[in-house]
Amino acid sequence: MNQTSPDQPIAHPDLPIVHVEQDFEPLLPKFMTNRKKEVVTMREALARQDFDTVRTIAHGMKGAGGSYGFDLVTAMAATIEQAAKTATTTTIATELELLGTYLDRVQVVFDE
Amino acid sequence: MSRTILCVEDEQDTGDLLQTILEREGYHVVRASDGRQAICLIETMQPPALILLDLVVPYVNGFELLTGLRANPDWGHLPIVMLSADSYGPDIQRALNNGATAYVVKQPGFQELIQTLNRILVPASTAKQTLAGPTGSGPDALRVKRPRQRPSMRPPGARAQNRKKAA
Repeated sequence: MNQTSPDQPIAHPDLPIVHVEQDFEPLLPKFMTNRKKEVVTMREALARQDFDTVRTIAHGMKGAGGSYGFDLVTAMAATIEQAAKTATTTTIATELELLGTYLDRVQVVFDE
Repeated sequence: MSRTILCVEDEQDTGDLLQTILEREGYHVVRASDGRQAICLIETMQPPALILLDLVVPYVNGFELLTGLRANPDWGHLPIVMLSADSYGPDIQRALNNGATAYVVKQPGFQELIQTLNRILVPASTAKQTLAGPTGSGPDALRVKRPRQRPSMRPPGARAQNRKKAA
């Protein structure tokens, strides 16, 4: 994750940007770490066809993403949750790949 | 009037964010990360000003907690705000039918939640007028009906399991 303060120039304007309230800055490192861990856990669960675990984690991520303002995380988690309900392996694998890439690239701008 | 909010939320980062936002608004937050922990708190702590209930929590879900709370003589009258990642119509209707005071979807910064809390947690003098007013029967009403007996907040089967353990 790249983090940028409001008074600093954006280092990589081609990266996806999410605006987060300044007050929540202390919470962001753990939020990002946990989302990345969850991607790993969902990949492992998918490998053993444990769709229940995938669905549960995706549901939690959907709410967390929405709360923090990461709309794309919410959208991808919602797709994964739905795909887990129907055990659609290919969709889950594709979305997890996209989600992992997004979490590695997303740039957070803290707004006052 | 108590400024304590019991927050039942299993997703830790969402719970942390809720606590940060609610404390910024001047509330004291007591947290439970699953249904069982919530029941333990309900049985031991003083009733708060409001209960914030995530719909999907482990062991005892938000709907079950809502039903148990509404049947509890000490907690049944408290405002309960249901919180969910989904805006699924039947869930919203079910929550309101089962006595939820409001239903809020998780959105950035919980702006809607704060507005809802500020609307519900009005000063005590105003709240009394609200209870006596003609609009007191809607889903936003603060309920004051109390059953004669205290129903258990334990999930079905929990007592039987405890009896087996004791034997």
